[in-house]
Amino acid sequence: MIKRINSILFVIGTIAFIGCDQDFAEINTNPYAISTEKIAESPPIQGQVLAQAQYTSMTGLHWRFQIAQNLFSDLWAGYYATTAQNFDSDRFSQVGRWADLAWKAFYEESAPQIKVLEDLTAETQNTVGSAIVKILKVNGYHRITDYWGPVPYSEFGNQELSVAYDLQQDIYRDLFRLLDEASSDLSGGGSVYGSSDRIYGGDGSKWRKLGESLRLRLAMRVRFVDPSLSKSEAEKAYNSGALITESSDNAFVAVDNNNRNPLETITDWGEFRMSATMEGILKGYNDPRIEAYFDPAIDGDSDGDGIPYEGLQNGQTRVTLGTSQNENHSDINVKYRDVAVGGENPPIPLFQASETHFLLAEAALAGYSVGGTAEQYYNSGISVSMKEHTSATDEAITAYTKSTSTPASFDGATPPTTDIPVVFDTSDNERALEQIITQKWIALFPNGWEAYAEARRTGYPKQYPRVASDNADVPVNEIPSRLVYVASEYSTNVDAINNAIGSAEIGGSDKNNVKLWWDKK
Amino acid sequence: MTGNFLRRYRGEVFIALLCCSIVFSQEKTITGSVTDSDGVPLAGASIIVLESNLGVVADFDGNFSIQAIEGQILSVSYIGFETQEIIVGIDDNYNVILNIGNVLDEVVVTSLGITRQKRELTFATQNVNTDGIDESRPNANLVNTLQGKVAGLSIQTSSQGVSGASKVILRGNRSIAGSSQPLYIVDGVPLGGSISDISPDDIASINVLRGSNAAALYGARANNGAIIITTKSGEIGSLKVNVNSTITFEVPNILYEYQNEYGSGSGGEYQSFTTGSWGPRLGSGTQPHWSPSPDITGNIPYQANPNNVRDFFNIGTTIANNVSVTTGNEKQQSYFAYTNDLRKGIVPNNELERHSVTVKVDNNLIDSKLKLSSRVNFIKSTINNELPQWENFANPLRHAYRLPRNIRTQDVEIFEYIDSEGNVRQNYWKPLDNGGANPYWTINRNLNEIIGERLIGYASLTYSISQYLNILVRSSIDNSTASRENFFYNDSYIIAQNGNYQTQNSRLLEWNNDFLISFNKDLSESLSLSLNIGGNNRVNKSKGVNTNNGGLNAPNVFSLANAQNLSAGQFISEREINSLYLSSNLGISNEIFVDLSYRSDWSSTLPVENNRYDYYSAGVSTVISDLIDLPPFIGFLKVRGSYAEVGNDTSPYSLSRLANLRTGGFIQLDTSAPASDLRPEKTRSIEIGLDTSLSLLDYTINVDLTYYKSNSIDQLFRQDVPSGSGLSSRFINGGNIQNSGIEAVVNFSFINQKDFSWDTTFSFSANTSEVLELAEGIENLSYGANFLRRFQLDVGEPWGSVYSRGFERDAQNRVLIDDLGKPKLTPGQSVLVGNFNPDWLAGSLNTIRYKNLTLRFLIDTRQGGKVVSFTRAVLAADGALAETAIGRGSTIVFGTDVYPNETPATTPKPIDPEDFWTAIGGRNSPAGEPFAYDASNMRLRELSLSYAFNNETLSNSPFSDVKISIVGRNLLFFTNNANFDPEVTHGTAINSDGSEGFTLPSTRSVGLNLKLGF
Repeated sequence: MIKRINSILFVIGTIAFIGCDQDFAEINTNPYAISTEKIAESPPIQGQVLAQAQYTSMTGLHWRFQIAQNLFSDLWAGYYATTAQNFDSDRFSQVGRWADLAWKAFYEESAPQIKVLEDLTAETQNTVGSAIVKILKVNGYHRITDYWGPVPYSEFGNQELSVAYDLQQDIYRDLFRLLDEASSDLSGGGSVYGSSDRIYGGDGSKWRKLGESLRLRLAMRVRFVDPSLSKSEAEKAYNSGALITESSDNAFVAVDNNNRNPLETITDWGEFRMSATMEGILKGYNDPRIEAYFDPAIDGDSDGDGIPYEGLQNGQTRVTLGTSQNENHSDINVKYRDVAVGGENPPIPLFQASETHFLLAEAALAGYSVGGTAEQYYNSGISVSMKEHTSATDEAITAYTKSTSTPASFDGATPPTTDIPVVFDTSDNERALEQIITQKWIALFPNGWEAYAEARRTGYPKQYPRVASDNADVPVNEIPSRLVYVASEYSTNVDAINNAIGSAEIGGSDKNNVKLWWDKK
Repeated sequence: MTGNFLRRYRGEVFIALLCCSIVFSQEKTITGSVTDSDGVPLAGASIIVLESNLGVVADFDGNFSIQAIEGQILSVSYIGFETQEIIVGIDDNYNVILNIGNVLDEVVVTSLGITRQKRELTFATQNVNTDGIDESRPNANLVNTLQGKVAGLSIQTSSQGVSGASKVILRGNRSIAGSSQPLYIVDGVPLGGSISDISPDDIASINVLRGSNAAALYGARANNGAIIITTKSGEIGSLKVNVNSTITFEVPNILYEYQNEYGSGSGGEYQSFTTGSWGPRLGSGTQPHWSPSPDITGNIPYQANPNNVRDFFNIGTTIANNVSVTTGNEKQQSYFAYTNDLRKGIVPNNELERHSVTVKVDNNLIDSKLKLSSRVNFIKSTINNELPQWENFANPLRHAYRLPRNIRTQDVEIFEYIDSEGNVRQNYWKPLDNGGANPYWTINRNLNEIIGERLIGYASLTYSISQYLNILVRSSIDNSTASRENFFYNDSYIIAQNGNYQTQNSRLLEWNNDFLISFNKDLSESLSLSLNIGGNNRVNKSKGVNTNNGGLNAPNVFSLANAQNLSAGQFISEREINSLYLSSNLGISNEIFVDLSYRSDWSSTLPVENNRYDYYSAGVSTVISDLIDLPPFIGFLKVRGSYAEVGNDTSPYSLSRLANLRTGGFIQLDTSAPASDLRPEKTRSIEIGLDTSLSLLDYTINVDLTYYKSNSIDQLFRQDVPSGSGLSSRFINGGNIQNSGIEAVVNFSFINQKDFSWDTTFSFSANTSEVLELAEGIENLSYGANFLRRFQLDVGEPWGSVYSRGFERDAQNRVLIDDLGKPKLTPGQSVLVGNFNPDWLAGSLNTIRYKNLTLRFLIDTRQGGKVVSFTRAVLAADGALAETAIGRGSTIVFGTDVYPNETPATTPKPIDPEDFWTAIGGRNSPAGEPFAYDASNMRLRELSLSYAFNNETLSNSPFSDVKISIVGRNLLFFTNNANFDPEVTHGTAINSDGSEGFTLPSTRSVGLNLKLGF
């Protein structure tokens, strides 16, 4: 019976609705979105996909940036201290949901874009585009593995229910390979994507410099765990002759009114101030960058040390934060703040020339042949950074590099964090390393993500201990060695995560105090 | 072809139907009255001309008028009485006396607007007693009046305030990704928008079709049951004017237990820059004023202000006025009504103003062979400051509930000040706080306005080809537009430090075009057949534009041109479905009835080559009491059974992977994998039931019992996948969610005398759900996570498991304790806290009449279910809850001083209460387990006392009817251990159950209703 009705209806239905199918397909097309086929056909559209990947791989969106960087690495690198009473990450508590969103910021907003572009540029033999995407990929993945250790890399985009994690050492080795390919593809320069490329406007030769500079960054990162790899990659970078040594080659992700520098927005919320470590170092060194990086405290010189820049010791308790710490401590400089209060909405720094100089300084210190001495590169690094941020004259800069000033006590009572002067110590390699990394830490500001990686690798700059730690694994005089894996991975990818935790790099325990593969000093 | 015809010419058909008005008839007006055997008028009795769709309802005095032709049959029915049929003869006046009987001869409106006798029905329906729905008006939504009155119906109200949406579920949740809410049908056509705009004054009757069995003919959306509303129509007779006015007052019933011993601060020290009440003991003395204003200085008393939360709320008012005019003759009957609603919520500035105009006209044309019916309902509403939900920064409840215990109302009411630079600033103790605000600032400086216009209408032509064959053509629309603006003044901290202005303009359309061919004939003495063949073309479209100023240049000027950083977005959703269907009802000797239906849908959302899905239903009912001799106390016994299978499509644009354009030149790939190889969703349901009428002693008891089981299979839902896969989620086409349960409706008259009667309707339902299957290799599915809790569907478990962070336990279920004395908490939301679904629902609606006085009351109970309270987790960390006062200045021991029901695995070190409560509560990652409560509650939901004046009393007045009522809602309310109203949710979406967070308090209301008839 049903069958018969079925067939009768089918006949009627077919007659009745002939001609509807085409309409239906049209109705079921979203006119406001763009299809993946369209992306594949059009390089200008691919450029917009690239632009998104560039912005998101630096966690450009304000709240993503806050939870991914500002509440973790920026604090743990010692740039700022938290003033919000209900934020616990400054006491080393890894608030799970924030970390989860940080993970997803990369894996859901950047990595898929990179993957699509990687595939499309390969398919269409767009060699310059392919090289640019590879360099962007190196930047994105080294940041992620530097936070967590083993992460999904080679299997990314497998569209499966399980995605294996790669060991950090394998990721790093593959990133070097990608840089080899990119560098060779860009040896003739070239141009693609035009203004959609927010970093270099599609200039292939500048991208090559960014690639080689990232190679140098990664080479120094593996210095203590694989000295020969470190040496060969660092020297390869140097010998390429294509490093970002001039500020004019700096890699910034351009922002616009809709896609802003995240600091421009999050500074409205008044949740962090200059750290005590920062105050002690910049104040002790009489460093003019203090004025470029921070503003005087609203309450002025409340501790009577003669300058109105005031830092807050990290790891304040809920009780101490029950009184506002915002007026009596220094906010980040107004240029980073809301346009409405005089901010400049500056571009987001990805790699700056001063970092190259400090990387070369450390390379020289390690005995690599990079065309100069550690001291030369140390001084030139300071000079490049000073010129970027201040109007200091060459004489003033020279005087600064010869200064024997040492970091000061932030409050006049607590001893300074260290006794190294600015003037380069040629007698003691360890003190020299501390100087190089401390100066690099100043120069990297506000790139806390990189500063946090280097702080773990080298132990510098020395920071004030936290007032309190909520994390039994990380005492107040240390900083977390990594982030623990995130809840969404535990619920969707548990086998892979367990394999990663069981690997030698994590050693069976997914904790904040597990040192990463490269953290072997 | 017909489908295509409808598609192509639907506009023309619609206009033609509206314009057509030829007038011709030979009918006459029948007047009469309906009373019971004691002469008591049966107000609301329904009188229907059989084999037509024409029907009227008797007025207060039981009087009616209707038009009919000689030889036609009038069916007169009233709940609890035996239906009588009267053949229209030469007389024009009929006084009908109904005998108390069984409810089973009731006439009910079922699918497609077809009226059928209840004895014929093969499925469960419940006619809702609509008495008083226009008197005891619930504050927010018409559908809330059904609460407690319908077996199997669960209603939760949202916390949006006076304009609130409600979450309505019949027979349990079944759809993982879609809606489990029923379809609303008004006068035979589906609503595309919310039910909340419909005026209770326009309602003639409500009938609830609980299962998908009953609703197979409305298409997939009726999968979850259907609520069938019939609106009032014009009546033959002289002009009648009715006025109905209601005013009610509503007061909040705040149940959170606050401590009033300690005020602002931390560590026992006074601090004003905090949302916590961990300061020193309150009492005498003063502390520095908290205000950041340079003009507000000095000290203020440091004393408890136990009522500071209560003070925040107003008395809510609802004023509703309705005027309706009915008139009619043989040729044309008209109904006109205007309703005006003015509501002020208990949260200040939360207001609604609504105008509703309805015109309904029925014409008899060409010798009663052609009938034209049309109805237009235009609604214009203005909503001010609809409350945002949950922890939205602009939700004033979030800030009001968190007032530190020493804050004085008179101080916090001053919500702003002017700073030295002339800027308006928020007067709050913790300026710029991420998550805090002065609640008075929020209600005055974070505003919204929603202006809605909605047109609901239909026009239909019915042509009687012969006595047995009718053809209906109908077009109906439900088109609404909404224009929303959000106004944020500067200094609104995180949400709008520089002020902001947002707009959204949207349009929602549902357009149905139908034809229906009906054949009704008694084939022989003992065989009757009703056959319906129909087609439907349905278009659903929503479209909108929103803008965001991204800050304001000139402070607090709300205009697009004043944008710091304007961005705009668009959204669209469109689908079209064509359907053909067939249904037949076969009656054998008026004792056995067989229903069959079949439907095919073609949907635009499915792959073009595979866009059809079919569904069908079959049912049978037998009047046993007519077939065999039963013991005399069984006056009537019918058994029924039916099976239905309903298909469903998916949401638009699900078939291909897209990328979204972002302002500023970004393109972002959608990380949801598209659906491929879609199988349409299906729900298979079976139900059996019996309707019986028992005579015990002198009483007649009518009982409806139903058992049902439904399985929703091949559902389309998203599963989160590891983000390293390149996707965030993928479509799963699987699952088998089973709901089964029983429903009982018992009608009973305790007392039934001429001047004194007591009728009661008791409803009971219990639903059990089980997740039988998700998909191959998937044993559980997590969804709806927020800071507090998530849901998980676990195979083999009931739907609705709530998981949150909780205590870590050893094998003996003892709580592990850390070195500081705190219970160890799980890092993730991995502890099963409970299931949010109720075990059973029951309600008892009672009507007691004594002469002209009527007392009506409804008591209902919702038993079982768990709710996790986000508000309490936050208030605990704030030190505001009563239990946080324990051990201040000293220490507490877990398992002894707090949570004494828990057994610690090791002896806990005594701990400072602030350290304890901030560790387990708070906003960022609270443990839900310590804040989970039993959602069971019982309440006196409705109470009304009415007095209707006698006709004799009114004979010298201009009035024909006068009735005064005192009405109350929620006058008594009890919960088990929850000190909030577990029925108020923070949304109506599938993932809003099982948690409470900054929702409106329970309220009590009383009011007055006056009805006048001229």
